[in-house]
Amino acid sequence: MNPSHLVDLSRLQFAVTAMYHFLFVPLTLGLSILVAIMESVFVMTGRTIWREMTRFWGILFGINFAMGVATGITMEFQFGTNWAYYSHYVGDIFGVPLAIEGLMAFFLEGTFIGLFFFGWDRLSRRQHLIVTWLVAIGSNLSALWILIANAWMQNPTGAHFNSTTMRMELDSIRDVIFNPVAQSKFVHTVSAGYVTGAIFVLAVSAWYLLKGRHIEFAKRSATVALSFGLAAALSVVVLGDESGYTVTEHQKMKLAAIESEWHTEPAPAAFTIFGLPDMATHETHARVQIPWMLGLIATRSTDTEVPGIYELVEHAKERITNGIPAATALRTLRQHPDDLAARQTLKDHAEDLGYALLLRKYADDPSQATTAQIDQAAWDTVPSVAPIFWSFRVMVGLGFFFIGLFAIGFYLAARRRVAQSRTFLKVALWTLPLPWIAAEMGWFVAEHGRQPWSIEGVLPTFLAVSPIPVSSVAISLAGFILFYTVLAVIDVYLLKKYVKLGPGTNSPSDDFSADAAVGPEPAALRH
Amino acid sequence: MVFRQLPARVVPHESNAARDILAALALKAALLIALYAFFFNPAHRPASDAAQTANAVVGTQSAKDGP
Repeated sequence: MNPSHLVDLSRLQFAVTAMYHFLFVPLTLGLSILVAIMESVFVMTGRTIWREMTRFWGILFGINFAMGVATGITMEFQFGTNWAYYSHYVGDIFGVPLAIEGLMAFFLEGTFIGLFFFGWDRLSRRQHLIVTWLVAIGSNLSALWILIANAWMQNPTGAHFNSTTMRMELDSIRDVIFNPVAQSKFVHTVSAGYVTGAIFVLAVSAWYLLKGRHIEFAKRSATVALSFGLAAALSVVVLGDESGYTVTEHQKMKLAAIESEWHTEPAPAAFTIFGLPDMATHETHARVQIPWMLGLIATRSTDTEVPGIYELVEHAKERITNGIPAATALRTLRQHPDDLAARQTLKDHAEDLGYALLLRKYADDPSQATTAQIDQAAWDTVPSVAPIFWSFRVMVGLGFFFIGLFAIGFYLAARRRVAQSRTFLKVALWTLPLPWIAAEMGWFVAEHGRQPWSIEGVLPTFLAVSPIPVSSVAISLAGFILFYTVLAVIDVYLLKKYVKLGPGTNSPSDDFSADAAVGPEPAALRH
Repeated sequence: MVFRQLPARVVPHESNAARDILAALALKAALLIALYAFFFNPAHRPASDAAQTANAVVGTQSAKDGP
């Protein structure tokens, strides 16, 4: 059995690398689409200011892409080293979308980003525009495949367990790809990336306007960011609701933890806006609730209950008890592969094998577990409630703040008053770090809320860890922190450097007089 | 129509950016290779065949009916 500090340290290492990696990803997702939109306007209008915008934001996109690309590969290093049993147990399925991501999306993105930067003088306008959209589509496809892999960890579907190979084996790639958790997670995550890109463009444009630099450039950039950002921020909330609905279907304990709902309430359940969850007493103090709201959001009905933690723990006890014969049969089959009775028992109880494996923390042989140990294992299915409860509320609160910010900015832009509203510009500038905080909170809720499972209901996290020295994990963790910190510092330094240099020449007001020859600019694009 | 036929407007920072990006990529590649070499090369990976995974996951070595 792996010591708990090895499990905790391996988890911490994976969490650190994933969260560092996700500093780069949302900006890449958002900027790629924004740059493609700007270039589309250039191709439609022929106005050079839009080409200038495409090239400038394209440089910033390129810096972030270059710094972010391959930072996710360190997680794949860890699968082999720190998570060897995980890799063996589920690698045949989990590896498929990761491989497709590398072969299809990443190469699509990587190839066309080269053409984007070096093709300006070699491609026609339309060809270059197609290249830019392919970069954006490649970035988003990358996210799709990664999220399909992640969604399978949340809702393992389209697979069965083979006791001979000790692997989960694929039954249906269609089920894995069209996993409802994957679909909702993908649209929610990329929308969050679009919000990040929009706030980045808005904040930098606000800085130029506050400094009185590149006025025409910044006003148009802000208008694109506000329009796109408003649509994206609304999508994040709507699609986040869909993502929450799939959690209700497939990860009831995660939902109960997010809501700090210890006991099942009569339908429709109230939504807790504020509370102080207490893991020791299993209570939430100082609750402030909105009646009906959780029931309506989580079940989309007024008569369906949202099960509370106590009820779900009782359900986990039943599943653990039902899974014990499967664990015993699996042990027998490992010694006597031709034992047909054991094979049938495993088949009959396979659904709950993962739950019986939770007992391995307390008993070497799950069939020898005491009632107290079954109780302990059942309570292990409850993740730490307070951090999840608060992370979720920070994320949602920021999501609504972004809608408000974009809505006010959109109103000001429609009245041609963005550049004059210094208060709005200052707020927009200081909003810059917030979408990253929201995105990281979202990942924390998704992944910490999945605990104690590495694969929900199939493989407990503590059984997935490799038996390697703790010192090795600690040293490599320090190496990762150094590596990612260096990359993050360089990323911020380069982005800051090129933002300060600004688009084209560094003159206070840019000369786009040649655009007058193209004709009047459409009103919607003008300030 | 190609871009150079449009009114010329050079973006002077692109070449500098390309140089900076290449330098950053080179540094990143070096760091990644170092991490791989020191911590994650195949010598650091524990074996995980079916028997070892079974023992880790379900504890077969200590099974009473084991050989």
